[in-house]
Amino acid sequence: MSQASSPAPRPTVALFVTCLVDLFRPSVGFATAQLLEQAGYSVDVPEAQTCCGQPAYNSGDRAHAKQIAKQVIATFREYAHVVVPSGSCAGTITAHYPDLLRDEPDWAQAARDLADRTWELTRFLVEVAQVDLPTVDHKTTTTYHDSCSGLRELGIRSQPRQLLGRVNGLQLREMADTDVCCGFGGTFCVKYPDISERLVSNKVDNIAATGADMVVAGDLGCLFNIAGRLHRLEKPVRAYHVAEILAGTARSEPAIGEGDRS
Amino acid sequence: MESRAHLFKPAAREALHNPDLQQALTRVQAGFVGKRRTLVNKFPDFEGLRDRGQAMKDHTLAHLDYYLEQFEAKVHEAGGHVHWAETAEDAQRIVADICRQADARMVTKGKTMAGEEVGINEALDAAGLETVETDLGEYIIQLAKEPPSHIIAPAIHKTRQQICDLFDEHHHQGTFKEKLREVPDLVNEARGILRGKFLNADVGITGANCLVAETGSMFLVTNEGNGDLTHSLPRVHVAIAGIEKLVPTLDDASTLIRLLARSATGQEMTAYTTMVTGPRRGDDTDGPEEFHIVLLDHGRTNMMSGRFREMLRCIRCGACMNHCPVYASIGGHAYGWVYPGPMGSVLTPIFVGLDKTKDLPNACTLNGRCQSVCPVRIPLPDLLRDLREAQFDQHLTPGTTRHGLAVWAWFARRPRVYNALSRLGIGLLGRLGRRRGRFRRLPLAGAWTAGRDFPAPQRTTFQAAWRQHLSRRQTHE
Amino acid sequence: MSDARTRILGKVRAAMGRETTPTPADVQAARAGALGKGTPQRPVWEESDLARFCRCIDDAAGTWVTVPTLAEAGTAVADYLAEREAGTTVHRAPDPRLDHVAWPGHLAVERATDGRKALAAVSCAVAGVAETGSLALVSGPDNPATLAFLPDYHIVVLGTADVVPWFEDLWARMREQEGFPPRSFNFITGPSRTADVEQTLQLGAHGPRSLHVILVENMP
Ligand code: SF4
Repeated sequence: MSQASSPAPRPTVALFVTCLVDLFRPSVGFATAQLLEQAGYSVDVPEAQTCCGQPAYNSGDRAHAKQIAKQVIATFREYAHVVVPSGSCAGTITAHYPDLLRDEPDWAQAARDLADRTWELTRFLVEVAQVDLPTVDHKTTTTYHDSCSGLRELGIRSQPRQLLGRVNGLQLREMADTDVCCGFGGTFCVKYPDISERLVSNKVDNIAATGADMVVAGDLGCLFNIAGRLHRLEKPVRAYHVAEILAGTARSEPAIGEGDRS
Repeated sequence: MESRAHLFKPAAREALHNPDLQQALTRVQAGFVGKRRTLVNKFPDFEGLRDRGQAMKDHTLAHLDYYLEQFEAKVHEAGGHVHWAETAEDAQRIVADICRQADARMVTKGKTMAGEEVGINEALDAAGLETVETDLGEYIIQLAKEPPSHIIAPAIHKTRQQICDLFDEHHHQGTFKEKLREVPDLVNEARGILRGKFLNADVGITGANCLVAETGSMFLVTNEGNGDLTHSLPRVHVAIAGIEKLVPTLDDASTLIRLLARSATGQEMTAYTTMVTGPRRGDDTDGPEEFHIVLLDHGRTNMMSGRFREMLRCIRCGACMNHCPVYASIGGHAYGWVYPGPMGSVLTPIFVGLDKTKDLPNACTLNGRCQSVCPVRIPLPDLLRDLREAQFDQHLTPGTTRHGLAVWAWFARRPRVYNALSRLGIGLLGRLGRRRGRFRRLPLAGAWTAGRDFPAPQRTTFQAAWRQHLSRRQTHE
Repeated sequence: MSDARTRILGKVRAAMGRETTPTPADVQAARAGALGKGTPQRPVWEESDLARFCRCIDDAAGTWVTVPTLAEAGTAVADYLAEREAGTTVHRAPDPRLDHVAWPGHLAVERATDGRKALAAVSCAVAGVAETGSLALVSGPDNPATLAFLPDYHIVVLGTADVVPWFEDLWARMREQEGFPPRSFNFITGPSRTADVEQTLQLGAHGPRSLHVILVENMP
């Protein structure tokens, strides 16, 4: 073939932005959308989305969790792919909706169907999109925090590291106990604040021990917890969502918990 | 054993601020996690082995009546006695009766979690017997009058200094012996004292790591050799085991032991793995004259029908607690009953009652590390979530949480209202926190801000910003 | 028939939705379905079974020596005791195979019916398992079980031909033997140990402080 093949037109991707990104860090949503567009997809953000229902589900409130799950399933019914910039929320949809709705066969089927179409962002980029994204430069020493749901429910470990490996100037330094929880745990962090504080302190110690100037993760829950503790202890480590680094928007955006001097 | 699980929160707080305990707990990680990982990586197909362990236990549980009957017949064939205990009281009475009939004065005990569960020591005390724990860890906590804090390392919460003090108080009274300092000396002193007990005991009580239906045997896995001295030297050997300990064949027992040794202590095989079948044979020159096995229900049959049957696969290896960050922070005692950590947070509410153990299913981040190491793949986080659901259904969840969830769910199901309101709230919070980027204190967020700053939100919600972005894009095009 | 027994089994059956115990044929079929026919997952090694066995003994802090015939085991015992300064008295198991051992004159050899008086003891294993470096000892008048637990020094004689690769091989062999299972079938892998004080490994908790294996190349 002599002609350069233009990439096949790609389907529209729905962005499930998650409640935390929606409320607290829209820049992650924009970075995600940018990455998806750069990968050749057009991006839809259905307005009817709010939350995946995990707070109810993990609190034992099955009835409400089911209602919300059904709403999410209905909202994203039409899309070939649903991409989520969070291992935790993607995990709720893929690993838990089918079980949550197991008593209602039609809904359980629809839940399995949605589960098959739902992807955590980094995994989607590596395993589905499979394109070389534009190069970005970011000179930094970074350590990566694996969120528990991403790691254990979705098998996300190599994907973000592979993507970060392509950022010019970014040097990755692994911390000890990468597979140990940061202590966020959704409502856990406010129900058992002193235990949670111990866990996040351990995490912050491990982060600091790497000497990295930045910590990156794929889940805003963990990042808020970690950044909150880093700031309280006045440690000079900046926290970003992996999407912001990959999209190259981190350099123009204050890190999580940092003031806006502009 | 009396449950103190309702005191979880204060106990956990105390544990977090106990420097001796914190020092001792650092060793859990170093002692168990790394050793297990090395062996698991060395094993050609450990995931396959876990699958087999799970399938084997599931099959056994699904045919437990068959295997229990087969086991019982084989024990009888070997000249042993089988006792069935439905409750803790049954088990206590059975064991006390056996001791009485044997005219026992002194009883040696190997570590048995089933025995802890039904309070065997209390029953033996009440019957006026001298009971000596022989596992070094159990012996230490018996001296300290404390319950175990870990299912395979019962004294893991004790520092060497504390053990030196204990031994000094209990062993050196009225002597001129100097206080010991080093581990070898401590172990040696306990060895000497316990040797006398082994040789003079009338009854030896042990647990069992599994029961084999094929032969009517029990397996006992130890590193110290105390289990073997406990069952071989006295006139009577009594073993206590939950009915879920059955495995069909000797080959299955090998599968289980391969999983157990690696998952528990990070060994390929413990120093002593012993298969005991019945009492001393006709021409044997040592070994007990009587062998009794107490098959314990104590609520296990209630777990047979629902999802909690999965918990009956548990082989009591302790890997889940070794890998639990909450356990690593607070130790085992805060959980308030016999079984700590993830497996305890599932079992204690079932055995003791959901209303008396409200914290246990909730004091977990559901991070799933326990499940990822459980040799029989028990979905511990799912079971904890099921317990939360049971709490919610029985109105044991606090009112504030229930109402909070109801209000939040109301909004979450009404995206328009939700989006409008969140835009307002976030806009305000964003403006307030913009300069500094975070809050040291926030109304209603005291639990968060006690130890962490609260990162301020950006200018507005994503939904609002995205709509703006779209309309801007349209005008440009 | 105790009531507790009836009730416990009844509850198990009720949970499984049946009224009677399944038949052996049904259980066998279910087992085959659940576990399949393949061999279980287990360790593998490249060296010979004997080499693996010896390496595992090393890993478990045991020691071993090879001798050509049983007669020479006597000198091996004497050497071992001398090296450890463990005296010159040894309690041997009554196992008739040990009658072939040529005991050096300076050793006081006593036949032991249990381990109560022994500081150093010699017993015979029926097999070794290469998978883990475990010695398999059958209790009975020939090899009293307490002989393996009460002494400080435990010496075990084993024929190299009796090293089997995996536990499943051992079970297959033992099922054929009369008198199996014995009261106590002991798998011994290294000396006694504990880590109950601060997770620090210490040998010689309650059982032998050291374990020595004499591998006999031509075991009668
Ligand atoms: S739940 Fe699993 S990991 Fe925990 S003790 Fe039981 S078998 Fe071991």
